[in-house]
Amino acid sequence: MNKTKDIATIYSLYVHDLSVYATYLGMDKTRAMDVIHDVFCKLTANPETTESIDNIKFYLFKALKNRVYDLFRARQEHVGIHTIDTSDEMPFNIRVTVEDDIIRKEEQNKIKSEVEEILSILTSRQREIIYLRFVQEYGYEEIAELLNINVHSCRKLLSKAMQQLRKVHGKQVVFALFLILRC
Amino acid sequence: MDKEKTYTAFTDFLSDKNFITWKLIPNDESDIYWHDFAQNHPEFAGEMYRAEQYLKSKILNNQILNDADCETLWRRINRNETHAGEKHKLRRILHYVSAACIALGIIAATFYYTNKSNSTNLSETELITGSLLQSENIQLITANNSMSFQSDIQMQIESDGTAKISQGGNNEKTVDIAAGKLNTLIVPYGKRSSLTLADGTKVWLNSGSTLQFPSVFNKNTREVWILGEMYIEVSPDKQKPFFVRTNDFSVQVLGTKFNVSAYGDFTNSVALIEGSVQLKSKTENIVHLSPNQQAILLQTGNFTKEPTDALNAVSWKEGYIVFDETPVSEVLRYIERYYNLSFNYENGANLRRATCKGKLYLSENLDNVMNSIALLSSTSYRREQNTIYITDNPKK
Repeated sequence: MNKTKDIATIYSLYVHDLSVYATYLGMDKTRAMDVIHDVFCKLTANPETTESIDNIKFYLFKALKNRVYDLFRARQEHVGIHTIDTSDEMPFNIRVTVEDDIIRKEEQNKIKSEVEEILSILTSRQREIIYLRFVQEYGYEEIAELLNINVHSCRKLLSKAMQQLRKVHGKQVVFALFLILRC
Repeated sequence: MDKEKTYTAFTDFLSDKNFITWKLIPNDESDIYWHDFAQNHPEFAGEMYRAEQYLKSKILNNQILNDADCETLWRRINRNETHAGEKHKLRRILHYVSAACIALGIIAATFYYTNKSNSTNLSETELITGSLLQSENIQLITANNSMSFQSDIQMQIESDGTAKISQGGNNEKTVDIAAGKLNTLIVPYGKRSSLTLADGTKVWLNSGSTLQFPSVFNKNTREVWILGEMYIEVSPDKQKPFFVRTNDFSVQVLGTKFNVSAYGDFTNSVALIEGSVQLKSKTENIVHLSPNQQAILLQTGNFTKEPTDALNAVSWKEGYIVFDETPVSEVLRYIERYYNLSFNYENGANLRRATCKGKLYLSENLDNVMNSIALLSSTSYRREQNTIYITDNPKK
């Protein structure tokens, strides 16, 4: 009896995060809704799973990613039939939104372009790691599982991201650091 | 260069590249820098925290769905609750079968029940719902262009690297397609298309199919890739063998007419109408087909060969399909693809052991089809926008 209610709670807690994650993974709004639908139908069909899962949010993210990955592969396997390449990346594009009345228009634009510039230097995988780590606050183990890589490569990808950023605008970081150390 | 950034509000941190970089990809160096900064400027602690939260929950995680979307989606989830994983479970597919058969008008079809007691005794609560899925556009992706079309297209590749595209015989337009690159034509569920390749080979693509083809074939071979179903009439050229490749097998031909069905999640088969072909699976199994033979690829990678009326296999391009004791699960899949529908089938399980025999006309107007079916099958049919309800109580 309570199960439906529980799932309703779970749904309202995570539907936004899930739709954002699906969108960043390349789904449009309709597809994102379809994928969330599938994930929750699976959950409601086996309500026992909610009890055995200790981290329901991670379970949902994982299920969603698997579903999206299947859809991606279905297309990829055909389109990329020449290059049977396991390193093919799923796209991951973060939508940067700064639309808020409390921030002045020119500041909105500045913030948006700063964030977008940083993200644009990175690869899809790096963006996904950053999103999962910073926004969703997952640990490396969980992130590694979602990306289907090991923890070591996960950390490596992130430190590589730092190097990439430095190459592009690193001097400013160093300069700022220098200033602080001096004062 | 500014000596030291002046911060007054959280937005100043958000427009600072260093701050954002630190939040996104912290390392020892930036950790030290910003922790020192926070210690030296306790007055900014609040704004820094606010900046972080704003970046985390707004800038990078802005809502995609509005409240109405969430509510709609939740209702959809609840409706389907009792049959999750619908598309992949045979058990469930069998439940859908009668819905599909009735709904889509196997006008001249007969149902055979293996279980007689079920056939006479339809439960009072029989109710089938079906939903029309949102229609997608046909897409043509070339090396330097991408186009989409709302209705079925006919396309002809010319030898000068252009393609003539028409929709329903009019609106012809010419587009450039670069030589030497592969083009992709994606035909979604509910749509069909045909094209003539550079060598004169004709291809009819059924719903839910993707074809990859070059604008100009290379010197020695002709190759296309298919996911889904197509009927192909290969123009003869002994110097250049023609290969049709799918995920699981390939077909080599010289000049011939045949049907390939390779949806991946469905029976992979080739039915030959004319000429001869050689099939090769991923596991290097080879089989030769003669006209009116059909090869089905088994899970093991072997083929089985059986006689077939090959014209029936390609009747879809003429607007009808023929079933002969066809398992309902197959009929259902076919119909869902053709019309881009999805059926939910909770209380209509009585026809589950049926097989279908007969001809199904694939009419364009779903309402017409539904109405005649309702009459023929003593069901009643109601449509509310994109949802179809079928009950077993005929309108009096």
